[in-house]
Amino acid sequence: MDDFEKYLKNQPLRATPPEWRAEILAKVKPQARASTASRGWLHVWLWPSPYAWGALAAAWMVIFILNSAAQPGRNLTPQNGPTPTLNEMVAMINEHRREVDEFMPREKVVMTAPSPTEHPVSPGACLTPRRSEQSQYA
Amino acid sequence: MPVDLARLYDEHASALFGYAINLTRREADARDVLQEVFRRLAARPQLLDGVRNERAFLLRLAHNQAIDLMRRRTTREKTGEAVAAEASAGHPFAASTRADEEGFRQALSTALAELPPEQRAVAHLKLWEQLTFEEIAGLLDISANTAASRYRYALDKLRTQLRPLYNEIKSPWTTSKNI
Repeated sequence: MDDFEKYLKNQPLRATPPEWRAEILAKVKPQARASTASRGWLHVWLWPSPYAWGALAAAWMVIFILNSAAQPGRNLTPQNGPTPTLNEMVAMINEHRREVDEFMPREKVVMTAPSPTEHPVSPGACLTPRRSEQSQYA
Repeated sequence: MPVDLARLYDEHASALFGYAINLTRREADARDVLQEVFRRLAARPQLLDGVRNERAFLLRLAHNQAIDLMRRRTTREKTGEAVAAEASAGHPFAASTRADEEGFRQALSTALAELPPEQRAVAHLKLWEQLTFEEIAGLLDISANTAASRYRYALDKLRTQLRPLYNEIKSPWTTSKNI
């Protein structure tokens, strides 16, 4: 900026006539009141950072959804009643077979509940010869 | 919460008035511009939400309002409803007690009035609002290069017109090469 520009810059501008302040502010005041009244309670409540409040609400929603989805032990399949015991299930199956046999007779197989003292036997156990049996083929 | 119009007025009204009167060249129009800017702020206080540079934003509002007003005035004058010239009332500078300074300010006012409005706007924002060309570009929706070239054109014209007076005031014995 040269001297000429500096000289121009230093030329003071006229001030606003002082009486305008009251006149202009008085004229626009009713519009300011109407504008404030027209703003809803939600806007007033969220002022002055509606975006920040919105983001906070969204973050809480995400946390709630993630928390609901990741609850341990949550049952994903609907259940209408209590889970039947093993004996009840065996009884139900036998009843069902009995009904089927009435219409289609066949060799009767009755399932019994395993006694708690018996050890479960794996299906492949009968395929493997015992040591005493192995000695017979040795 | 309503916008603090009184504070805005106290902080920015003088700058807005100076800019408006330099653009419109009429005190009544400058008042209309000022009133319209504050009316809009009162009606829509959310206009200022997120605004970082209040002064630049208000100058932009004033600029748009002044341009609208000048367009309407041109139309009115073309249709024969010319308003009497208010040359003295449209003087944008403060009065001076020194005759040579007062003479220079009158001459500067006349020289500014002869500039195209777009050059006058850039010259005003650069000289009396000390905005950068980037800020002026943002305010007037033009490129920074355009703002700079408009400023150079305006300054050249002002220099040409005001050179004799300026030399007389600064140092009567210097030659025109100083400007």
